[in-house]
Amino acid sequence: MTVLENASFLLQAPGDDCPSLERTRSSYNPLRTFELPKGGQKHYQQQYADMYFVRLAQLKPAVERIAEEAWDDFEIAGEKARRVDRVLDVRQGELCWVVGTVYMDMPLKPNILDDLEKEHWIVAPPPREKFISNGQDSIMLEDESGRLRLAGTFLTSRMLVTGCIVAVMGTENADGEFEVIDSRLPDLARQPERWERDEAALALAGRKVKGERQPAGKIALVSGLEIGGKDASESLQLELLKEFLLGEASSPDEQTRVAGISRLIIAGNSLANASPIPSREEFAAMKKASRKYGYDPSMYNASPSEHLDAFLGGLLPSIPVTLLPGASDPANVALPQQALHPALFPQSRSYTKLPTEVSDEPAWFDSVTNPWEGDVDGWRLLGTGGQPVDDVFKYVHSDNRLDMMESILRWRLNAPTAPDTLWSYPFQDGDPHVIKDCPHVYFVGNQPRFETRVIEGTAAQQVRLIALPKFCETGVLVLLHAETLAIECVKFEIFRKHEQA
Amino acid sequence: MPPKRRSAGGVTGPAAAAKSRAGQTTLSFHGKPNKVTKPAAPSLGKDAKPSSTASAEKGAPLVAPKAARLSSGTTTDESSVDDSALASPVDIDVDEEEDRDQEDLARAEQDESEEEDEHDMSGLSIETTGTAGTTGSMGATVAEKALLEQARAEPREEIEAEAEKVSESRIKAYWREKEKARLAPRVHQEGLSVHEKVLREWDTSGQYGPCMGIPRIKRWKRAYKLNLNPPIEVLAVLLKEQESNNRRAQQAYIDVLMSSRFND
Repeated sequence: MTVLENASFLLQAPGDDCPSLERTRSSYNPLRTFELPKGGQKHYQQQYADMYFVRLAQLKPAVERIAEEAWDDFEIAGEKARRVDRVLDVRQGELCWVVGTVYMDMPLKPNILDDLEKEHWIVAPPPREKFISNGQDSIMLEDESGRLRLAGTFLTSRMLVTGCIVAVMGTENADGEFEVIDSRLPDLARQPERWERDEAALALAGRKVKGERQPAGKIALVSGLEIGGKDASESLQLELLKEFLLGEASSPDEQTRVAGISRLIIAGNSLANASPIPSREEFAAMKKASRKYGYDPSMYNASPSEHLDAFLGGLLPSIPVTLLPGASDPANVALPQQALHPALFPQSRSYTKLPTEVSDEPAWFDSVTNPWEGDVDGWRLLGTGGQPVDDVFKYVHSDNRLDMMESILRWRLNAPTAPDTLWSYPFQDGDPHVIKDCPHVYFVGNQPRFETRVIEGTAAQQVRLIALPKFCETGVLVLLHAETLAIECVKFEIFRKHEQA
Repeated sequence: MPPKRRSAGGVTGPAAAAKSRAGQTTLSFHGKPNKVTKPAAPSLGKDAKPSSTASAEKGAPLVAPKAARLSSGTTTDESSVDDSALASPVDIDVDEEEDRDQEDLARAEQDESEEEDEHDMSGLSIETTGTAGTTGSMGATVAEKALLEQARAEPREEIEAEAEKVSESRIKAYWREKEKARLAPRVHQEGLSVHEKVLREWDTSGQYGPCMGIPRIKRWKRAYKLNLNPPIEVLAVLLKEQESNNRRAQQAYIDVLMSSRFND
């Protein structure tokens, strides 16, 4: 709890000599990597095999290069490891290395047959947090030619999920399994320089590259506002957040600090899942109860989205906002989730771009896709609403979310478990989930705790990982200093005098 | 099969369809699509490739015996073809009509009216190999239409120009090399042309990805973009098949079998 050291500013008579502060400008250049074509141009005739093939084809060269560097002069008992083209070309007793996609065969993975079982048994099995079984999970390496079961204790030291591309070295043993001695990941991709895209665009346009740039401010990151949930005190927390960001809530020195916040990024779950899809039994009961035929408009409660709209509408005149959809938001279920439609925000709509407008200038209020990639103040940011990390969490032994985020960057896959256990659009031409440029900041929303770390790569890449907690639970707002990539946390708490027992 | 969805703002009915067709024709005053006078020779090299008309098919002679076909059994929709003679989408419909007549499908009329409905961008109608039932054929048409919409005309690249230069003898030499690589000759391929054999080999080459759910040419271009070095002779064969309007060759053979109307 902050104690106001100098509370005299509250005890003054109103004066005219307060300086009006101006907010730092945010330099913003988003990428459209995850935008899908609209309407009838989205095709669903293709199968997911195309997506896996394209993913392997995109990442195989990088992994092969790393594996060659590592294992070129590797020798065991006089035998050199040689590269094998296809997964099925490994020979027994021969030391070789091969690149493929990992497939984890887990018997406890959610299965469509469980839904059918529900019809026969009265009680559905309780939902599991993790789908790993002890000892029954097997790891396989897959390729266009086939699958190869991997064995050996080396694999337990590595975090692997279905869909990663790895190079493994070892030999086939008598059981027909591939005993792994060593493995390599694609590791972090090439990291662009700060301002690289903006300078390239300027150079292409024939203008002089800017030598001096304005000192950048701070980027505010928040996630999990969950408006429309059951808790009524959330509205007070939101008001506090709004007042803080607008500079209305604090002393003049705090206000000068807040004037440095140049952009707010909301990373998912702005609306709570207040009206989930009813199960079959509930739906039957509802149908019997209501005598109206067809769509019953009284069932829709518009107040959560109105509340979000009012919140954003209050912020937008002062600060630009980037809004990512999340798992509980009214966007599509499959990744990549498309932007929340401006129709949801009648007040804030005037700050967005018209859908028919085809200009390159990003809007003040940018409703973007989940996952999202963009340049803010020169730094490349990559962020998601949390679904990929939550899904990886279910299939690994570890509990460390930052480790999973680091692995995601090292696998170069934004959503490694898509499309296996995470819904995804069946990409055919290229998998946009493959991380082509390593970001400077990777933020993931809706995680249980606030955590942060800086990871490094072999080519002097440095990435700041930020796991954002849910605002409705923890009240944490993260400020990222754009000049130094340092983190500052602001916590909003409401003093509850009478705690519930 | 789920009922076919109308495209957003799609037109319904033959009259409205004719109006929309007339309104949507994109004219380009260069290239093949507007040669009304006589059937154009198939290969006109680089200069004849249309670059702007979205409705133009890649390299296909769109004016293939149009006049003759107009008199053959047509639907009421076809009668408006005379009016919009320069409408290249309609030409393809006419070709389509011809192909379908040749294949003795009685669904011509129904498919025509369907295709009018979904006429927004692609003038490319699809040979229906859908199932015998009404909804079945509609579903199959949608599927194949979607597939081929994906492989619609895009700006020509140099690689296609290069593939145009590949001669028939080079293709035959390529195929001979392939056959020499095997110990025994391929069986059950006696009745196939070299083109068809090359294309089937292309389908079953797994290193370029799965062959189902994607048109052959799109698969080739994807493999090329991913630097997998697909053989240029295959692209040459595909372009040649496209020019001779062989719609069967656009899809992988296995794909055609799996979506055949006799499959239930």
